[in-house]
Amino acid sequence: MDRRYWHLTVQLARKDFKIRYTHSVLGYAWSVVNPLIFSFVYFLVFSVFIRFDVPFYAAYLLLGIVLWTFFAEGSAHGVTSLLARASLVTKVAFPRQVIVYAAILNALMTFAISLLVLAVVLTTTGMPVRPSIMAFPVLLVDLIALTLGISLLLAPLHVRFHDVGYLWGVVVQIGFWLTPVIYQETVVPDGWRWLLKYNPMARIIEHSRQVVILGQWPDWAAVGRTTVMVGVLLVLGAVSFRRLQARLVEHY
Amino acid sequence: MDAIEVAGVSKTYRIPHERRTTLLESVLAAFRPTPVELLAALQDVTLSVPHGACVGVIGANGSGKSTLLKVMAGLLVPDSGTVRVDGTLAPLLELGLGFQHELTVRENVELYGALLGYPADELAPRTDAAIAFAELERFRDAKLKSLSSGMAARLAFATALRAEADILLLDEVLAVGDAHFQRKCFAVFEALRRDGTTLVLVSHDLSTVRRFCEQVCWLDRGRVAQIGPAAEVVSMYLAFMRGQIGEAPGPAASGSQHRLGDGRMRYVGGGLEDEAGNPVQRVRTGARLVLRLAFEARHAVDAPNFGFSVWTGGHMVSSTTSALAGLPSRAFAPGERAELRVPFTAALSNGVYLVSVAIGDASTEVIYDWITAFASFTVEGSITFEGAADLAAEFAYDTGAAVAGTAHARRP
Repeated sequence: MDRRYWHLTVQLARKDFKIRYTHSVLGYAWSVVNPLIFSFVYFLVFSVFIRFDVPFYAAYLLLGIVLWTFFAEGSAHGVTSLLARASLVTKVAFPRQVIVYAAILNALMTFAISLLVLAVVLTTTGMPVRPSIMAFPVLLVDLIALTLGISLLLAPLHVRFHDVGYLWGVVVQIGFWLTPVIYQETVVPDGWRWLLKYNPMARIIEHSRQVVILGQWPDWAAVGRTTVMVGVLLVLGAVSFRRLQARLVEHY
Repeated sequence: MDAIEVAGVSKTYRIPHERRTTLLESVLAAFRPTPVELLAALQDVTLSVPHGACVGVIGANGSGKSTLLKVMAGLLVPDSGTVRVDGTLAPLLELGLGFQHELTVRENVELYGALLGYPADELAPRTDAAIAFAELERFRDAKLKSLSSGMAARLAFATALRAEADILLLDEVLAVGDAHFQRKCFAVFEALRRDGTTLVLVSHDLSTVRRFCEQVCWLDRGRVAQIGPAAEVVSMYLAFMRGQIGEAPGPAASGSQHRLGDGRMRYVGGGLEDEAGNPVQRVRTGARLVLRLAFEARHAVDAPNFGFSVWTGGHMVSSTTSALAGLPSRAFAPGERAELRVPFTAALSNGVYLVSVAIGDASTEVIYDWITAFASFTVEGSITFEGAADLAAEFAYDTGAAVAGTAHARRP
């Protein structure tokens, strides 16, 4: 994609980001308040009421929720983006990926703020910065690629069948409980571990906790497997998008 | 190659009677086929738009104008045929696309500009230029929702005009703003044309089409009815819309000549002669020319009215009919042939002129036969400075008046 379309992607994402928080007093702060409030509630429920005994549970929770929120919001925006931007897609010819990229970029802006807040919270609560954190960007790339791949795969289908969007919403809700966001992988009985083994979000979140909170280098072979899985999904999404985009306009 | 080459393009829409947009409905529909209506939006359309030309596309609602524009813009993939575009293209199918009420004037222009392909490094100056052109500098940082709808339309149009694409596709977007702004737009339009921007204009406003376009493509139910000089095609279209032509014509068979009409009575020969009866191509201005017209009635015709018009540069110079000239009307039996002799004066300035001829019913104005560019001739020796008519003006000093003038000037 040439520079011109990159420029358009950025414009679309920035303007969307701005519109999202007009008419609100807190503005951009909302993008951070949300995960913080939820982290606090989950902490209250699971650590205080149910008394999960997990070291650094608050940090675990916050990291998991920040990563999951990006995945859930990014993919929700990405999957519905083409339909939401119907007037642009049917009236101007540009690579349709731009719309999906802009949706993901928009979610990334919120994500960046959340990560910043996460960093502040972790350092102020005394979490040391260890060299293993250098592996974190790799996991972030996996996360973004996964979100983008799913969006590219489902967005054109959503234009034809509006169910795809609803269905994806359900998948994300179920996925939240089948992914170790508010719990740790170790609490899952062995017989059920397979459920998490092939869930890329579970892998990304677990690895992230390992490198950010525990300060351990991840099992690179496992990270490699996740990356391959995500990569295949991204390629699949890009290829199917390319095939479906030509006749997209007729399906609105 | 031309700026846009559309060759043999067909596009059919499948319109299910019951639109399915959910998966379940689709699954169910697999077991009971939904009736699908096929709508042939475009059928074998061929059209070339030369670089720097302004081509108009006219036709009734649903004739395929917008589909043609979308095919040109690359938004729709034709079922068959090819579309080739040479140069950057900006489709203006809707003005103010992506305008958001919650964004400021400047932000909206930036976004719309990016959509129209403003390069990143020129975004700021072009944004300023567009806002200045729309005369909305005062509202630069005001939210769009605080502007009147007319102002927003002006802003959208100003932004679109700064797209600086080689080719602009415009779909009914010229009629915005008040008279003052429209004058400005027309001026910019002229400037774009001078700069060699290729324009394709879809419009119901036939006077605009006639004013800006040299070529016009008339679409009728997805087919090209006529392509040719703007004024002629527009007048044919108007005749069709008034019900004077029963069927829309097909594309021209050869060259620039077009023929239409129901054929109840047809011209079968003729041409231009001088008064001595010799065929002519070139004449001195003011000379007498004779238009000879041989015709044949194929069905019984009660009172035919014969007409001819003279054109130059896509504009009509003059037209008249036998009824206006006082030729008594008479009936013709099927198979009857006759000839008309129409002498006229070439009171014209230097240039090439085309003659169109027509036969229609005197009272209902239904057209039997209409041939454009039936004949042509060149006029020479005119002293006309500007304009199509030669008034045979003469200049001479009037000695008596000169003396009176002198006397007048002397009076203190």
